Amino acid sequence: MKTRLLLALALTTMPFAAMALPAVGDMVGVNPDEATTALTAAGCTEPKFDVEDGQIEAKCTDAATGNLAEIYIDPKTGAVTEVKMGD
Amino acid sequence: MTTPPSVKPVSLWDPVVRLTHWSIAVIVLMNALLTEGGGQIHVWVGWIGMAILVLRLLWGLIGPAEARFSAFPPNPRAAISHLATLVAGRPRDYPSHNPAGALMAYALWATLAALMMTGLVMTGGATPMQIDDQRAAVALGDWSVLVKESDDEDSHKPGPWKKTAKEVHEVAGNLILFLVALHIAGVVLESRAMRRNLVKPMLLGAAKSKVRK
Repeated sequence: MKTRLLLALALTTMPFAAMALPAVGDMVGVNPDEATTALTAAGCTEPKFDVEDGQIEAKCTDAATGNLAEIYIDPKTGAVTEVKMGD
Repeated sequence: MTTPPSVKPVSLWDPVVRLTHWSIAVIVLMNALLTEGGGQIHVWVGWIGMAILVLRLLWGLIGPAEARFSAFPPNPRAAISHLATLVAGRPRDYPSHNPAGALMAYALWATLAALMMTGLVMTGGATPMQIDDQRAAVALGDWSVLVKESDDEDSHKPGPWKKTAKEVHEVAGNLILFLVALHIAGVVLESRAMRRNLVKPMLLGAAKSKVRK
């Protein structure tokens, strides 16, 4: 019984565990619509966009952990340049 | 070794020295502790700080005698000697900053300059007004305002200059807080050793300093 419960738990949480935040170099888009779709798919939910040091800063919630994350995006290429956890 | 002439310390710093001192203090605390690094207010405060630092450095060339660099040249040996007299409880007066205070002033200015230069590199030299425009455009969904004609295809990789600037900026940001704490401790210690409030001449004071003949 206990084993079955653990197995069920593992299977139900697998999709969340598989969703990691985007990695540096990942292409997420060069406009807010594309980036919102790509970031949400990667587990970075409800992104809010701002400017920092000439780059796009997307503040979002890591779906896997519930922690805040900051994803920096090059506005020309749409590539992720840096991923920071917390504020 | 000749005995230094007996002097009366500054009892009231001139308005430019006071204004630049306290405004830089506020600016350092704001950008180190309150504003978000790289954010709109942080950049505005940084640029205001740059203007104030330039004013103080200019004042060191053309201001009244006690505010000029020539009145408090950087002299590490004299600073150590002054600290020794402070430990012995017999610090002497100076017509401007004492040698240890002078070294602290130069260290603070150098660290501020490093913070400002690296901040400029990090923001690509954009003025606060340009950054405001960029933020407004990004808020409306237009990211193209951040793309420069000169950007190459590898621009998503932070260049070595920007990366180094960011690291230096962070180290300098911590260093200046350490220096500020050291500066405050020095003022407290010296005020107690001299039985005189050294903060007062930087606030309101009473009269202009004169060298005793």
